[in-house]
Amino acid sequence: MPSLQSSLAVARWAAYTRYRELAGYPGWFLLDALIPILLVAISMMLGQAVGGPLAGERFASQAGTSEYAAFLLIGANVFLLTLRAFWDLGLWLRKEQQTGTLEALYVTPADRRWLLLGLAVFNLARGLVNLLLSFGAGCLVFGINPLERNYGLALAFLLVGSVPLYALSLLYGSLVLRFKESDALIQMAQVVLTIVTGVYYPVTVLPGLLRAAALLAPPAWMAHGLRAALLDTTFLLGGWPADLAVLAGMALLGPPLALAALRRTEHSLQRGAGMGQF
Amino acid sequence: MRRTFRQGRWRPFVAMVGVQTALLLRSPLTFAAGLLVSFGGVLALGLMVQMFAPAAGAGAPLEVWVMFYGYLLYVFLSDSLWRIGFSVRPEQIQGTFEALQLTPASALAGLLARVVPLFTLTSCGALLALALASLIFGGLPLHNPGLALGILAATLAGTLGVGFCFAAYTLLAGEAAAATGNFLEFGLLFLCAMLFPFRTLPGPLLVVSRLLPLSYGVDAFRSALLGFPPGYPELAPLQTELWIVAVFGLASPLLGIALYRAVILYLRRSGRLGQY
Repeated sequence: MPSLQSSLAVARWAAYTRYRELAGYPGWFLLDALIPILLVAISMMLGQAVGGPLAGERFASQAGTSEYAAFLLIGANVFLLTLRAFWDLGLWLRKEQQTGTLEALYVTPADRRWLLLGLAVFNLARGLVNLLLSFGAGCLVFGINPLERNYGLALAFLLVGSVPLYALSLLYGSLVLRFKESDALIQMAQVVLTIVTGVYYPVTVLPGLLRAAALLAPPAWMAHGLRAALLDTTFLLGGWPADLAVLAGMALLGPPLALAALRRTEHSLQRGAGMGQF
Repeated sequence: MRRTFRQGRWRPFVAMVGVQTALLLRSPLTFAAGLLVSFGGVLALGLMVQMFAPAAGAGAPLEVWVMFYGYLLYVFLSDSLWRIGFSVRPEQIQGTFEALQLTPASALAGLLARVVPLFTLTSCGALLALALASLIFGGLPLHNPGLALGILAATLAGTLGVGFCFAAYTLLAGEAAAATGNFLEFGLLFLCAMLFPFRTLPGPLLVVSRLLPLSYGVDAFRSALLGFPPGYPELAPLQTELWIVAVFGLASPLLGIALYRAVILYLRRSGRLGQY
């Protein structure tokens, strides 16, 4: 039974290795901050072209706020945080598989859960820094007043929501290991996440089945909670305690479920040709 | 002799197209993703547009179709960049890229062979998206289909050229090409005003937009399908745009092919073909 200290060292080294890998590509850091701003700019230009001078008024009638730039900026940032979580675990697993180091990791005596935890914590920290940068830059570009917002509540939604978010990304990683089709799965995940996260709209405007699917996805609750906290729009269940409780429930259930799914995939692969087959 | 030469050139190419088609069809996920991407994108953007659109019953505004037709071109651009241009990267990592360069088949044939099944699949996805857009908004404007198809063909040839250039760049840049690809994709999506009218671009950005030949393809394609409503095409008179698109469609693939060949030659000479 490894000690907590050695397990933490595994997590720390996993995070450090990932940092060293990414430090060679500083373009990604810039890109992560830039993509949400571009997404918002594109949506705003289209929205203004469609709605003309009444764009804000029309948007407010459905979203509960006329601050559509801020609304879209929050959605785009949560979307990118989610996508980054998916990319960082799913694509990492696939890359390790392709380069032949995944099998080696599986025969080391280190506990893989700590390895994944180290990666997830590093990626989350990176995602949050990017979110902060992107939100700050977005406020400057789009003339959003960042003052007098409930940042404490927003942070609570962000942190509690991050746990089921990374559990979801682990589930996605299991799919990548199982089907070995990271590109196709990334494309599908992007499409599904764009729709269910509500990047451009509140999930309440989605038709029945899509709305039900969105309510099962932690990013939808995160985006909605952040918007409600920062823009004074309504919460999905009427108040922040109920919405946050749903996310907390997902945070409790998500990780064990995701780890069980990953273990099942690992066993299935190890019974076959092994983790190294790609 | 001539016949033999032609057969010698075409047979490997046809065989490679067969391989790429088999690869595409063998994986149901890749196949489904190819069909679903346009479909899902249109659904998300359609829902977004409805946040700004007038109340139901007023009919879809023109900008909806501007966005939709621009989005179709974007999907092909994205394919050119990632599934043609960046596709050399996994082969480099898996070690099959160098092996392919040692076969007697043309180095370029392998790259070109990806285009046929991929663009066929993307076109099917685009048709599905057309049906969905028609269902959501009703009254799909489909004027001048012949002219629009011609513009689409020339623009796609141009984007293919961009894909070939990106493949050459990927071979040199390695992993860093992924970030560059994203910059390029989002940059072109924005600067070529693929999802909104050009008139909404701020002045300095519009100047940059006018310098990109792809912008004229986007403008001419959607203006033709919309039946040239007042104010369209936005960037230049139609005849000028058609000339630019034609030159783009011819010159861009030639440039891309030349660049790709030059990079392969350079990598062979410097012994870096198998490095990644």
